[in-house]
Amino acid sequence: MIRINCPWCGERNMVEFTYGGDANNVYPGLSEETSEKQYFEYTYLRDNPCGPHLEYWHHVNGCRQWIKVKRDTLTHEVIATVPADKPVGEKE
Amino acid sequence: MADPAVKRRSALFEIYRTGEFGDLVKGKAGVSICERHALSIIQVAAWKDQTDAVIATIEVAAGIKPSAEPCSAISSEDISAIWLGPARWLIVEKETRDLHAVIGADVTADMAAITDQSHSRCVLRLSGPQSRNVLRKGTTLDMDPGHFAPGDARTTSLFHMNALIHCLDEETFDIYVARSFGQSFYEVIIHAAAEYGYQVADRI
Repeated sequence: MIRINCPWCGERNMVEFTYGGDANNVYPGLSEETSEKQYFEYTYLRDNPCGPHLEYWHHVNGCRQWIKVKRDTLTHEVIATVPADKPVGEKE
Repeated sequence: MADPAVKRRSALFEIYRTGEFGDLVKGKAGVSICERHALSIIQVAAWKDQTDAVIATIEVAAGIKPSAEPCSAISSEDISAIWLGPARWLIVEKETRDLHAVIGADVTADMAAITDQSHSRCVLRLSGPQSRNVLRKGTTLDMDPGHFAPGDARTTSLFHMNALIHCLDEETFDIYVARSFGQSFYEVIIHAAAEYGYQVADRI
């Protein structure tokens, strides 16, 4: 069972959370330069990494905040958690 | 607050029966259950950068100072301010006045969103030496007294229902669920408590 460290509530079981998608996916915007291809990729294409992955989770049965979770998809280790509007590490 | 001429009806009005039930050990109930009704329950959600102002204003308006500390609850004899999330609290007291208007008079619309939840919650109080064990059956929270102590309040999934659990003292908890879950919640609690023997007391 995955335990996620909510930045507000502390470590909680994953049953309190819902998965909110890939946090690396960047909205391409609505400008005229945005191509159909960019929208297609934004809407449908995802990497399927083996190892550390950045994802959104919603603490829906808790404080109702969106958080960003760095999780290893191979081991399920939760490496880092931050509020959704904050960067996880220096790299971001 | 509803028209005072209209009597409020609890979500449990059809199934709430007082008395002693279950496997009473030497005639004694391990858990005491009572519904808290009728309550005034007001949710206050501060807008961005208004948290400190809202905390100070609620203290003046309602006589209780909410804490910004996550998973905490501040209680006086009559009123509680329970942390729900960042800059969001539930202010709870027995229904004696229009608490929504009392808070709304000072906490203005540009400071916070104030929502009356009085009619949309079902609240049970569990007490007694087995109350923690009843809750342990339905939640993944650490219910050890050292980790869930008086003055703590946590929102979690309890028997697959979203619930707010407020620890009042070592053996006493107030549990808030959505009103529409009230009957299911009451039934699952009495089933969980049956092995310890339970008493259902008059509403407080």
